[in-house]
Amino acid sequence: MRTFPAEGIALPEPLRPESQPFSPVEAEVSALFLEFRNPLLRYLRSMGLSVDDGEEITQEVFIALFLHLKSGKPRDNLRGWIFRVGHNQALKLRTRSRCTGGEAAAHRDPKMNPEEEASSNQRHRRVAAVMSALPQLDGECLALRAEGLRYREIAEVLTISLGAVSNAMARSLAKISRATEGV
Amino acid sequence: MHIHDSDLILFSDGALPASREAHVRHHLSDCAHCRERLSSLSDALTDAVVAHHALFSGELPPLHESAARLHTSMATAVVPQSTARLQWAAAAAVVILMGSFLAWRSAHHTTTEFAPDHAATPGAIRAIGRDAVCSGVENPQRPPVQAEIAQAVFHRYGIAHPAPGTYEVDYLIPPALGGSDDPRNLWPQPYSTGVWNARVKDALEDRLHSLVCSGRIDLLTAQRDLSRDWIAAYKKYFRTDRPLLDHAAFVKDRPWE
Repeated sequence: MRTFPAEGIALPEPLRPESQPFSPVEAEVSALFLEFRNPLLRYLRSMGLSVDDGEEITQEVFIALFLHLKSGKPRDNLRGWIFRVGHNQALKLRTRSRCTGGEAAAHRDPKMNPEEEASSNQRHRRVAAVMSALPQLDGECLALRAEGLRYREIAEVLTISLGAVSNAMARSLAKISRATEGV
Repeated sequence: MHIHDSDLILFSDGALPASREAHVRHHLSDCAHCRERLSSLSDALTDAVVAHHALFSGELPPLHESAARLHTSMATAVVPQSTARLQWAAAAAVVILMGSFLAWRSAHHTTTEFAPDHAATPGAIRAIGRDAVCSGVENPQRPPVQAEIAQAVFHRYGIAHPAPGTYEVDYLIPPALGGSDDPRNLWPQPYSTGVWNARVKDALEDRLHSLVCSGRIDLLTAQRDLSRDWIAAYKKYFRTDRPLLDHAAFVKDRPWE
């Protein structure tokens, strides 16, 4: 074993290797990854997935997106596409976890959440507690909205009606309003 | 009759039908209660957004490491045949040619210039960045490949009885450049036969490590170039169509015994 003796090898100079450019699709997916990786991962975490599981699904989603675009398939509303595929993958993972007796995804216990315990802001603690206890659909709608999706996009991601989204949001926001009254 | 919260919510996002939106807008101009309700819903949503980001933003793994992993995956991803309809004839021809080549290669292992099978060895990396690669923390000495894994690699490549000392069970992306010991990153490379042999690739790997750590190329580029076509990478980074003579005797990694 020896380390590479760069000076011991006759190299043509100047050696200025140019990076192999990304293909247009790779560049597009890379840009989308930089924009939506964190929002998607936060959303998956809000669904109760671990960081590792969320990261794995995020990678799967963007590889699927790469293949989707590479195949010339529709590219309208890619943000909605990314969240929809991520959401469905997360549901599959949760189903598998339940079937195999693994740790089922569940809403966090607000009393046990370290971030909430560490928080010194009573208003935020109350809001976080309400969000942690929301029914699954209501929590998903709220988390998607928190990541900037329009209500019509949320309906597409969750394959529910626009009215179902607005009703879920109304329930969630009413609970939050009540929890923060006077704070 | 006041506006229901669900309509106020859709109104705030411009999601109501035009006629309904006009009605809500008109009602809000005259109804202090609904204006206050709309404001309250907006405040609650702001609280929710802040809480959501506070809960989940601080624990995200570094973005650049995930991006590097994605880039490597994209470089080795294969578009499903069924979706490449316009290129089906060309793809079929490639499959036939590849089948013939693999059959020929199987019969001439000892003399052929060997390249990894990208289906079996697409490459795999660990979640480390340039700093870790260049800090010296990463052991430049490759960890020995376990015998069971080596045998599995040989089996996957149709090599039943490898002669000791003739192959290196090589990392497509070496550990010193962030490669993992995942079997998808391993392949049997003839050590001394053929022009593009393991010694030549070892020289390329060290050259890439030097270039990455001197800042002349980024780690992702090095990983991607190795995973796509290491021979093309050699030609690119040494600016030659044939291995340099010095590299024929370049010895770094031990052959498989």
